[in-house]
Amino acid sequence: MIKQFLKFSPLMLFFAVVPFFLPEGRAGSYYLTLMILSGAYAIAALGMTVLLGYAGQVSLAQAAFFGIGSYAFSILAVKYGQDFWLSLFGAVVIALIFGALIGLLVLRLRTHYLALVTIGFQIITNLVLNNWDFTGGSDGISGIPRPSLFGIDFMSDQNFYWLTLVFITLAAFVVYRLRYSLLGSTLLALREDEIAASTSGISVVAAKILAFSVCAGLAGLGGAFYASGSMYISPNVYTFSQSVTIFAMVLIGGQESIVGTILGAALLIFLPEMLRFLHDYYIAVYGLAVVVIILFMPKGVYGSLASGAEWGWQKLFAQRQTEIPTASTVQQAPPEKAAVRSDEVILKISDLHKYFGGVKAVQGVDITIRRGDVVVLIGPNGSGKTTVLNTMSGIYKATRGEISFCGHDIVNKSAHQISRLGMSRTFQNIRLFAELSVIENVAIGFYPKATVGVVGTLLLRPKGLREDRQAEEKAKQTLLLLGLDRFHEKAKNLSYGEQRIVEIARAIISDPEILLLDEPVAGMNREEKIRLSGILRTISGMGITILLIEHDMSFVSEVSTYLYVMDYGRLISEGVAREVLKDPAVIQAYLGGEIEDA
Amino acid sequence: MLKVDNISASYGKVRAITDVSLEVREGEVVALLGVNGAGKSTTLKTISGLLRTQDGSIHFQDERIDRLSPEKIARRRIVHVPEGRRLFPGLTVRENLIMGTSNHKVSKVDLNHRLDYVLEIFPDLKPLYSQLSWSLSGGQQQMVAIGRGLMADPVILMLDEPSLGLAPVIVKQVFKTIRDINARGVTVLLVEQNAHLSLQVAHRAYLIETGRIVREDDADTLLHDENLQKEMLGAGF
Amino acid sequence: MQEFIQLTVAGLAIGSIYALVALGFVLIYTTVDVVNFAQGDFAMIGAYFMVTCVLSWGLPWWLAFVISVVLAAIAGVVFQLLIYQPVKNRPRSFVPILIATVGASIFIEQAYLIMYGAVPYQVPGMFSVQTVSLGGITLYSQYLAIIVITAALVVLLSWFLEKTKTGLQMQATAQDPDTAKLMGIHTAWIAALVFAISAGTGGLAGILVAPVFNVSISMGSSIALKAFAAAVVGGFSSVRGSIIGGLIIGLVETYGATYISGSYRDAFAFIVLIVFLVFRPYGLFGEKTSDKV
Repeated sequence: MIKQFLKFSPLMLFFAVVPFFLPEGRAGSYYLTLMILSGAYAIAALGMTVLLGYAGQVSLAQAAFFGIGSYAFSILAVKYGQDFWLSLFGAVVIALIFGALIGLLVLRLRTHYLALVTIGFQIITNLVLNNWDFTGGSDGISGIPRPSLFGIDFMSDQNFYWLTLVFITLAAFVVYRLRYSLLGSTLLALREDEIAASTSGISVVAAKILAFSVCAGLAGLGGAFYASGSMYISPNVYTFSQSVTIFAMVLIGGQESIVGTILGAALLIFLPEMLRFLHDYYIAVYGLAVVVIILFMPKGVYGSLASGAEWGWQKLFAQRQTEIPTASTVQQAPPEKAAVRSDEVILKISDLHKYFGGVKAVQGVDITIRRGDVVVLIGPNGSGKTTVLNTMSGIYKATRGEISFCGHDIVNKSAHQISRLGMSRTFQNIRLFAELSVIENVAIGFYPKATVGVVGTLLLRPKGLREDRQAEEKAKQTLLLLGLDRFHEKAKNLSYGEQRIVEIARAIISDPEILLLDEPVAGMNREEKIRLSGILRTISGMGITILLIEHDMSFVSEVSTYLYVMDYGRLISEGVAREVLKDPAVIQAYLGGEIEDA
Repeated sequence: MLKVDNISASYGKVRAITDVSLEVREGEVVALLGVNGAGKSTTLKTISGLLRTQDGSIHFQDERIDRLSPEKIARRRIVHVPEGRRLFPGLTVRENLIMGTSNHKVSKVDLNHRLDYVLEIFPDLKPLYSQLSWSLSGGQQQMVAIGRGLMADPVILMLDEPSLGLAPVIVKQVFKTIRDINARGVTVLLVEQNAHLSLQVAHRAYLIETGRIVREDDADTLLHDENLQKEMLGAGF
Repeated sequence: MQEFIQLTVAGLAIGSIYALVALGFVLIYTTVDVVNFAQGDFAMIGAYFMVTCVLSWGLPWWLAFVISVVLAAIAGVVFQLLIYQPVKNRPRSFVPILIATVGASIFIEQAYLIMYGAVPYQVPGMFSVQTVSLGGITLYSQYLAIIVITAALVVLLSWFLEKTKTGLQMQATAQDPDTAKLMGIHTAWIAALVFAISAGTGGLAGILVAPVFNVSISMGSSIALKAFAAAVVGGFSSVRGSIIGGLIIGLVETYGATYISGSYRDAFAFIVLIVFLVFRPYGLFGEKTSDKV
């Protein structure tokens, strides 16, 4: 963990020696001040990397959190005469609390609604700063102190700059640690696919609040450094357009890149200086630049340059990567639960109804599943099978009816709660976290088992590191068990069949009681189907009960222990495959009867 | 009339159909049969221009159409009734029907004739005329969807799983309607998984499996083929 | 009582302005699924066209009015081609479009600052008489003009959207763009039309409010943010919703500024916005929809 983080050290070292190369006198000290301010903004922008880059949530209120940090720090330090470090801590905590509150407020909101609430918060915050006596109104606060520690006086710009650099490194570490921890992967899951995240046992609520808190906390830290760095603050720093600027810093850096964000912050603070010859045209050029970057550089300036450099590097030194070992023979997993069937009913659906507008998708379905069964739900397209699955797993709320699972009534439970009770699933049109690697996709399924909290993760508690490793190990094992070893490939680059396998691996890594599969072999060729039926046997052998929706009848007769048949939202037959498939009602539902007897 | 030659298409990196060829002649009902995920709908989407082909060509009345936009294809009276009805939920039944005529200019008189014609085929729609379409039942929605297709004055009507999710009685009505529409001179390309019923209205049929056409035959021959069930749904039946 | 009526008329007038801009947001959002953060700039553009037509060229008010609205509509189409078309097919296109429109907004405002300078312009209203007396109550004539013209426009627009084939096609494209294409609807043309209409109504709003606020580069964004709130209150989905949302925001802001606190004038709209988004995110008239898997 720390070793990998050291790859940032050249950049930090570079920044650390910059002061030695600045010109003497006024110009030099002016540039140094700018660099301190860039540093403060970089910390806030790193917060946006977490929120926007990782969690995929939009916020145009970063300047407000930045302001809350600045004012909290300044009021604590100036009005209450608190020590620098305590004020700094207070600034982070207060901003973080505001962030958590906003996160809580916007739980159900997405895209532009989210952007709107944050804009609203931004503008109200700015109005309050301007009008409240306590914050000094439009005059702001002056005489903000700088710290001293272990006898080092940080009053000088140079020393304070280095201090800022230390804190940028700390902030970068927090962000980096989040990115590569099980906890942080919940944020990425949230960004990639909220539904798949929640059926993998991730609480969307908790993930959003985490993202907003971390984002605001870092803004608060940056804000405190801004206040202490410039020693004077006023409301006109913390405006909506400043929020846009911070947003642009992240964007120029390329959303997910830590280095990019830091460089983006430096660039946007220095840009006005570099464009000074443009006079009034500066802001117009800046707006235009933002548009052009968005239109032509989807990965951000830094991202585009970096991938360009990589491309060139590969062109020049066309080294083949070391050959990936071919799929080792499928390992037999030690059965973790007794692989025997029992009469214990683990899932019972009674009189389930689900309507969409005028369309009655499911009307009165009863299904009973016993431990160890492989139950198959068949029926023509549109007969309501997937709706049953979606209602079971908490994606839809049932219009009427009851579902009990392992003794819990789950009709009103949310998807992640149901998942944590031991129900995993895959989707008809595969829902993987497309931009994440295979191993990350699968490891996310392990998250509900993790016990270490946010603080533990960030403070590098050994337990957290151990759990991260454990998740990775288990993910590798599960994937190898299912016969896939392209661990570090992005999920979106896999073939259809491989994506299926990753999705199944993600579902079973948490050792669920029951696994729901929605048309797992649709679109697969014979070989892949044979492979998948082997996989299902393995899973069943691990003691996991299976419910699947399927069309391929040879596959169905091969794997099923019990069959339910649906047509137009109702059950029309049930029993063992041999008999059910001979039922005239079933044949007619699938192949149709005679037209004329209507 | 419609000739599809060796087309292939993908969703992102996932290949959906490979080297699909088929032909529809004037006045025919041609069925394209296969299970879920076999590539039926994908084939229709490439014909109507919603999905780009990667290989091969599509000709309609001797004009190459596989690089045209969906709206240009619709203007050539190739009308695609999409899977799952896809009505405009916030518009009334009547407004949905009128939207069907977006592919050509139509006079007020013609419009009313066309509406009457659809009501003649689907008399059940009359009392629902000014209802918003999301409130209709699945069967009613399917009638509106086919009616909307007919409003476009199709030369060829492509129906994607018109029986999807409907009660058996309604399903039979739908197939009768298809026969009826064909009798009025509309060529039909029908995508279905309900093989028996489709073969009863179709003249010819293609079987598609994992993105490839595996068989082409007369509807009658297929209808009486004992192995059809197995070919379509696997050996279990 | 007299003050209350005057405030109400003022609130309705300013609310009408918000409503017109909100209408533009909603039309664009429902048809092409884009929230255009530069919407307010159309109001500013319209107002500056008015400045040029009336102050520089000395055109009569009505002629200047028509020309300015048309030019604003054309600006909308240009905006659509330059900003929306290139990014519309990006994956998760919401973020790039958001930033592109925000960036465009910055650019447009600064470009106008360079062209027209920072000093606000004063533009004449529709009537030469400043005030009228109705039953002993003195009212600004421009306020009445705003209310009447907005009402007329809303009737016209509702008729267009609900009764004409093109209007229905716009609705159809909004509800299901792929199927609309299958029906032969030229969705790219519809998108251009939508931008033209919403930029036109935005421009109209700017022209109407110009005599009240004066014309400056900051007028666009301040109107836009309130109009957002209006659109949210109205449910972000209908003409009716936007109008009522706009009027509510206008009244809340005017009463709030007078009876509660003048310096927090700009906060009221956002408080309403946040309350709505949190407790009733689908607005007064929007429908609760669950997205299918």
